[in-house]
Amino acid sequence: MDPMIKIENLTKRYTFKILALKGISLDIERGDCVGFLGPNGAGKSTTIKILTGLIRPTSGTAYIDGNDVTKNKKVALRSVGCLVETPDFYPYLTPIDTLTYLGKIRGVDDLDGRIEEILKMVKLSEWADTRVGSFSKGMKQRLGFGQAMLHDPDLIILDEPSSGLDPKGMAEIRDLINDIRHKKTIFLSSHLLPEVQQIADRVALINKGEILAYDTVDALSKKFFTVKEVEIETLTPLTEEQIKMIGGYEECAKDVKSTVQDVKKTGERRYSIAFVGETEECRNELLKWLVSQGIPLTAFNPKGLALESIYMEMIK
Amino acid sequence: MSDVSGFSQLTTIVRYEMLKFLRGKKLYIMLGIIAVFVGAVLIVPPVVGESYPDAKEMIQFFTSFIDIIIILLVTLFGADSVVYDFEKGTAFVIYPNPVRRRTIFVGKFVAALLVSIGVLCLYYLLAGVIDLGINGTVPSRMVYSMLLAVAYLMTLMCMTFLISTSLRSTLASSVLVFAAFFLVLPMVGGILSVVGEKAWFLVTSASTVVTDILTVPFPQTTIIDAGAIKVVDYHPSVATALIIMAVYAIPALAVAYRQFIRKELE
Repeated sequence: MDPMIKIENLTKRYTFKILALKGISLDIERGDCVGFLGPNGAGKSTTIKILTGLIRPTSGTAYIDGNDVTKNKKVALRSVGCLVETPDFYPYLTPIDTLTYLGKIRGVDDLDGRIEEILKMVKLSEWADTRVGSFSKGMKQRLGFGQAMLHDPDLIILDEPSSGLDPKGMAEIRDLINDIRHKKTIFLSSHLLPEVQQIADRVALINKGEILAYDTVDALSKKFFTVKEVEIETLTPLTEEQIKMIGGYEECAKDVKSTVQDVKKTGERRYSIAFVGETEECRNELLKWLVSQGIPLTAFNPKGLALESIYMEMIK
Repeated sequence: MSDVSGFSQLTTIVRYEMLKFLRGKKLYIMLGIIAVFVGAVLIVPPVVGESYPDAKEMIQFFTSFIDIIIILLVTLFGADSVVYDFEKGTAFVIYPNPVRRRTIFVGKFVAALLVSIGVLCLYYLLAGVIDLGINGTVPSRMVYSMLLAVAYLMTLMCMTFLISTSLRSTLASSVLVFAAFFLVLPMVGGILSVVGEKAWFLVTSASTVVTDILTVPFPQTTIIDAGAIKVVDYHPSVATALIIMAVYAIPALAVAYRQFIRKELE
């Protein structure tokens, strides 16, 4: 069976010779939730715009469900729902009008019933008859997500779905994605690491138009992860002896060795511990050990997420 | 999900583009402008102590506003038709759908034309009703004038779509459309006229047939000898005017279509 998305040697050169994509290839299997991660200008949006027929590649091909998007967009996009960048809607239309318009273009059966379901899902039922022109950015983004789901597509493509939203709006969008993540194939681009780490099964890292890595978060973690940092806060300042003791930490849990490399004082009762370890268990073992040694901990915070470390390592 | 034919998608796009005009302010602005023109025709003669003109003259008076009405129609309903989606981001919702670009283009063009022709015909209808009410008759040639006005409107709409697909800003598109048809081209025509040249190649010259068709016999081009200069009063025939319109409309629409199909949402 064809992968849901198959990208082959995709290159895009914009005017003024800007090379946005340098021959990238990527397969996304059915049912996967793939995070497409990279800094601004990495080529994420360009890839998604090619996949959704908004721009043409300079060379290469992009298939959705075995259909070439560049040659037969109408067939390829038949079962695709997209939320590209921050979409705007015709301000004079209500959510019902907007969804009816798009539903008729896509040939959605039992459109009225489906619109009701969608508005309930994105929590816009109360504003069903209000013109979109008066909506906040978060409401528009929820409507954008709703229109992407309207025809119950097999593939959902989301380009920076939380971009420009406040924390509440971001959480609402994340909840919506979480609700569908085991029912659909999802291709989600973002530069927000926590968003991708919480949602995606697999991650494709892109930078400067090239795919740097494509694997599960755990596999990437094992492959690239070396030094972890943990910030601790204590009830009373640590003594020199205690700091020296932490600096000498060396533990072996389940055949995985971890050692503290450095301890730095970052505040009156705050310390940063750099240690080498490959798994999250190493961090848990360190916490247990600190408690067992009588360190009066009031906080134990990993500095950054695993994915963030990988990301920063790869794009530097 | 059922298969949707291209025609069904086209009618949906036309319907919702029309809804845009019906719910927006532009249509009501245009109707207000027409009300001002009609009011002027009705109010001015009694105010200045003149009697109303006869049936033919009254329609000629009404058609003297046709140029500006058509320019306003294409500016309001055509100039931002395409560029709006690309500037405001509505294209990110409409375009990544299983619908061909050509269907979207034709839908937008047909909707802009339908609403503009509707307003134009309403203006002629009001002119006819007023003429009938005051003079008890309407010149039969008014229908030809209306058909030529529709042809001229279609020509300017094609050129407007060319501008709308070429630019990136709705404001720039609207200003350029209005300035080109209301100021630049008539100005070039005026300059050519006073230096003794026929401005037959200007699309705006073709609009004179809308009023000329009401006059029997059809007005001829004359050269007025004004001493040092010769002024040309150019009146193209109906056939010449229609050819000029077609020469502008067909390539403009073809290029607009090609640009729209190839336009990228960067």
